Amino acid sequence: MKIVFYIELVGQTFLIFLTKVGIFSRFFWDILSQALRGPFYTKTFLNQLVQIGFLSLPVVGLTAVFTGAALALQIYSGGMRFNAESVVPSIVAIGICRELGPVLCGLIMAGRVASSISAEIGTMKVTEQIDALYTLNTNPYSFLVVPRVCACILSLPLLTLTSDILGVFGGFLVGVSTLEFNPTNYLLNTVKFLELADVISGLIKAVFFGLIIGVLGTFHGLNTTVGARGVGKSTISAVVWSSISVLAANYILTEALFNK
Amino acid sequence: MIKKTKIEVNSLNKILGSKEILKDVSFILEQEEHLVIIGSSGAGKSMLIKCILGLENINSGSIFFDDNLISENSDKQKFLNKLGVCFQSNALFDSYTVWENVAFKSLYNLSSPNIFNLKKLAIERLEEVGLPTNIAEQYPSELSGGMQKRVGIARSMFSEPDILIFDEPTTGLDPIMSKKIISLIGKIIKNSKKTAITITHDINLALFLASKIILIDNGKVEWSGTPKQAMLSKNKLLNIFLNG
Repeated sequence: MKIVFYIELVGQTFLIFLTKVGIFSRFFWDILSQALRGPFYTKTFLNQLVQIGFLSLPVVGLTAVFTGAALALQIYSGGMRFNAESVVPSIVAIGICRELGPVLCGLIMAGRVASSISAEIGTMKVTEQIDALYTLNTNPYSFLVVPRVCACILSLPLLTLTSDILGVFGGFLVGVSTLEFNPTNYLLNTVKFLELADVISGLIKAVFFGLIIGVLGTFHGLNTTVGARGVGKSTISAVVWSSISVLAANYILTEALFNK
Repeated sequence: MIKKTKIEVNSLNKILGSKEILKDVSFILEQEEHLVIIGSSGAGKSMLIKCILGLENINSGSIFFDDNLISENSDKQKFLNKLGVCFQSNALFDSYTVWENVAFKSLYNLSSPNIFNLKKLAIERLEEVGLPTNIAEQYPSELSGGMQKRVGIARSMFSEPDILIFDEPTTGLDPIMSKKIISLIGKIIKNSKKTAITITHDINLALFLASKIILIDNGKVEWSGTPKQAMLSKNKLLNIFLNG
C-alpha cells in the first residue's frame, strides 16, 4: 500500500510540475505574441525605464564600487603570496566585467525589481484592477507586462555597464589610496588586459537576466491568489525564482560564451 | 415598440475545481431594462458577471450580445467597447490621477488622443456624478470611499456605453452614502435610458432600481420577475430577503 502511495505522490508532483510548466509556457507565448501584435505603450515603457533602470542606479552603483574595492584588496593579498601584486588592476577589471558586474546587478535587480513588479501587479490583481483593464478594452499583457519586460531587458545591460565602470573605479580607488599603486600604471594595466569580449559577454548575460527578472516578476504578479497573503507569497516567489534563475542562467551562459 | 434583446444568456454552466458555481443560468436583458441580480454572498452573482464579461471561461452555455455570440475574440472586443463596468472595489488605478482614471479607455486606446478634450470630458463626467472638479488632478488614494465609488461610476459612463454594469455599488459605504449612490445610479439610468445590470444583496436597492430582478441561490436562478411580482411572491428565499 505504501508503495502505491509513494507512486501516487510522485505522479501528482510530476503532474503539478507539468501544469506549471504549461502555464508558464503559455504566459511566455502570450508575452511574445502581444509584444509583436501591439499596441506598444511607449509612455508606460518610458515610465518603467525610469522606475526600473534609473532609480536602481544608486544601489547598483554603490554595490559595484564596494565590490570592486573589496576585490582589489582580496586579489592583492592573494597575489602577494606569489609576488603577483601587479595583476590586481587586470583581474579586478576582468572579474568585474565578466562575472561580478552582471551577476551582482542581476541579483540586486531580482531583489529590487522582481519584487516590486510582482507586488504591484499582484495588488492590482486582488483589487480587480486587472479585470478593470480588460473591461476598459486594454490588454494587461500589452499594458503591464510587455513594457516592464522590455524595460528590464534594456535596463539591465545599461546598469551592468555602469556597474562595470564603477566596480573598476572602486578597485582603482583602493589600489591607489591603500595599495599604493601608481594611478597611471593602474589604469594602463586595466586597459591593457581587458578585452572588448569581456565587456560584451557581461552585457549579453545582462540581457538574459533582464528577460528573466521581467518575465518572472510579471508572471508571479499576474498569478497572485486572493488577499494580502497572496501578494506576499507571490513577491517571495518572484524574488526567489528570479535569483535562482539568474544564477543558473549565469552558469549556462558562461559555459556557452567562454567554454570554447 | 418591440424592445431589442441586448444580452441573452442560455444554459450557462461554470465549474471551478469540483464545485458547480453556476448551474444552467438563463436570462434575457432587453434594451433600456435594468436587471438587478440579488443573492446571498457566494451565491454566484459576481461569477455570473465575470462570465458575461469574459473574465472567466464558461464550461457550457452561450452568451449573446445584440444577437451575436460573444465567444469570438473580435466580438468580445466589440462587446467590451459597448460596456461600462463599475467594480465592487472600484478598481481605480492608483498611479493615475482621477481624470486619467475616468478617461482611461480613450486615453490609452485611441491612436492619437486629444488630451485637452479628454480631460474636459472627464471633468464633465465628474460633475455629472456630483464630484468637485478640483479633484481631477488628485490620486484615488486621496479620496474618500464614497468619492472613489463616484469616480468608478464616472469612469464606467465615460465612453457612453450601451450597457452599464454595477457590481455591489453600495458595499463598504455608510447608509447615507449608500442612499446617495443608489439615487445617483437611478438618475443616471433614467436620464440616459441605458440598459443596466446591478449585482447586490440589498433588496431595497433592487426594488428601487430594477425593472427585472433575478434571485440567484447556489448558482441557480431561484426566482425572476419584476419588483411588483417580488412583493407578492411566496418564494421562501425571496421572502427572507424582503422581510429580513
